Amino acid sequence: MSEAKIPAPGELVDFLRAQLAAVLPVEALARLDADLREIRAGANLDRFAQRAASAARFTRGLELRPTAAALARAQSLRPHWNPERWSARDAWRAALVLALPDLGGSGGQAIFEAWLDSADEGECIAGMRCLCLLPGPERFLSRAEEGCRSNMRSVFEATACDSPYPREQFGEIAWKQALLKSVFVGAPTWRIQGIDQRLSEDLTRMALDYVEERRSAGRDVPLGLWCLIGPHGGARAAQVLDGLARSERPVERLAALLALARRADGRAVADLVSGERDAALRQAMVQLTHGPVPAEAFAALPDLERRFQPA
Amino acid sequence: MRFFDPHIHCISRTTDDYEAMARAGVRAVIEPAFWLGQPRTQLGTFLDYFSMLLGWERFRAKQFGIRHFCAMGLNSKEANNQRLAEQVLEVLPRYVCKEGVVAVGEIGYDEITPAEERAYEIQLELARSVEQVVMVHSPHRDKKRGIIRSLDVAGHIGVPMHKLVIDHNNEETVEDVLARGAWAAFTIYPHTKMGSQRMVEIVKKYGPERILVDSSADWGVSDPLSVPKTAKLMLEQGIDPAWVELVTWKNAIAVYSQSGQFTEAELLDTPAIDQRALFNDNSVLRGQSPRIDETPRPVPN
Repeated sequence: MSEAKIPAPGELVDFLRAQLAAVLPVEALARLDADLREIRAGANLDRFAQRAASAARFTRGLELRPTAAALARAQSLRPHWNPERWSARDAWRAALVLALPDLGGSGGQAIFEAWLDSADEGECIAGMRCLCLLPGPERFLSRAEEGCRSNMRSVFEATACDSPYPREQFGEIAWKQALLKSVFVGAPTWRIQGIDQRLSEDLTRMALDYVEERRSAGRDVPLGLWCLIGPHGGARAAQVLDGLARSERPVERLAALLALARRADGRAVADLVSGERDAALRQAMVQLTHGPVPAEAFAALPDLERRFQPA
Repeated sequence: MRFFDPHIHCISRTTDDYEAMARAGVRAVIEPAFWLGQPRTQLGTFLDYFSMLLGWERFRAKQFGIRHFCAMGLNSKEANNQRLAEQVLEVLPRYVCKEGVVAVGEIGYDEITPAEERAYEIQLELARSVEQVVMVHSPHRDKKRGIIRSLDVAGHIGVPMHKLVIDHNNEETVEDVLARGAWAAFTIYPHTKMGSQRMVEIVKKYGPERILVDSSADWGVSDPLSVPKTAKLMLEQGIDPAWVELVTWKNAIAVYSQSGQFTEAELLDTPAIDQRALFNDNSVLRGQSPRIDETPRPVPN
């Protein structure tokens, strides 16, 4: 597993509080501060659970909406952590968790885990989102695996996406399953951090098996799957991508382009681009493959699909 | 025609579904133990769920003229909570021979983890030791590999292939299952997994031997009438009625009656419905007049 660089909980509480101060009404912020004081002083499980539950009352409908500067600060605090899609409710609850005394020891862990045992959907989301911020992250591996086992897309995304946790902590089975699962539940696969650092032959095999299954069933292959192929899969992958490059759907030709670029198959990329009859689409292809093509590049596909409807 | 749905999660279906199923000719169902949609945290919730499958849900189905059987087991997802899994596996022997329990299931792999394999092996051994049938849930991801492994491990433990049902098959997996001598069940969902038309093609290609059709109707988008609807489509598309009867009625009886829990003759007896009956003081009625069959009459198709 990768070594996680995790800042002290207090630093993270300060950061989250500052973000919340930008969106919360004054009374709500005062309530948060009171909660933080109480938790820091040593609230028991019941009291923690009540305060965490009550966060919903003060944050209804509020998103965190961190600025670009705030996101950069988040990255510097915790590399590969992206709170862009956090709600204010998530941030409030994460702050309470991070304020628990003895978070690195058994006391804080016991309260956090007991809270997760009775968590509702919103609390699950917050709990999963803050896993990457907790000291001793390996202690919560089974929780994260459970989060990825959920069929509630919100909980799955909170666990798997925008967080360094899966890449740093998941073993091979859990990692590959999370990637495939993201395709299954319609989560944005490209938002799972670290895909490019943990591609493998077996992952490509699983992805290609799934392509065969979908094709046998006469169903489309979800776009996110194609970022899992990487440089692996040999002739089998090359053949599948060659077929994809001839798809009647423009977005599938774009997916093939990105996947082929990730295999450093310059010839196939050039052939695809030069063979593209739609001039605007050809232009988009050139832009997409101008530099390296990370997994995140696939994030452009849904919008491009809307832009380039099939003739 | 009569239908047997050998995989359906009735606890997440309403009485509207039971009424529709009965009207369509479904006369018997098997409800395998599974997860609740989110992880359980206590042994007690497993035990109460098992009891519910054996008690209230069986009663509920009977009120609509449907024979409800179940499978008992620790599902693959929750096998990964190893502390809890140990507790469940310890008490499971108490449940697998109860009246109406026609299989150990639904067990197998979800993510193909060591914890899942351990729980699978222990339950296969339990099934073998009490000569019970086994219902295997095949994983939705890495399915082909998961099924082959499920077959290999079951064979290694000594579960006879004629007592092994592998469920949720598709075009990519059916040959491996049939080639080993096991039973291949197919789940018909409206939009995902296997569909009715594709099922027709499967039966045309492989024939009816050791093939089962089920709905796996549960809390998600699913259809408790998948079995009768698929049967209808098969007949419309020229499949021999005897074949249709095999894959939607007789094969399920053949494999699951090996549990010793029922006979075909018992299923052919027309049920007498008496909705005045109570289970632990609970009724399925909510102000309606009870249906009471003074003399048994067939559940209309």
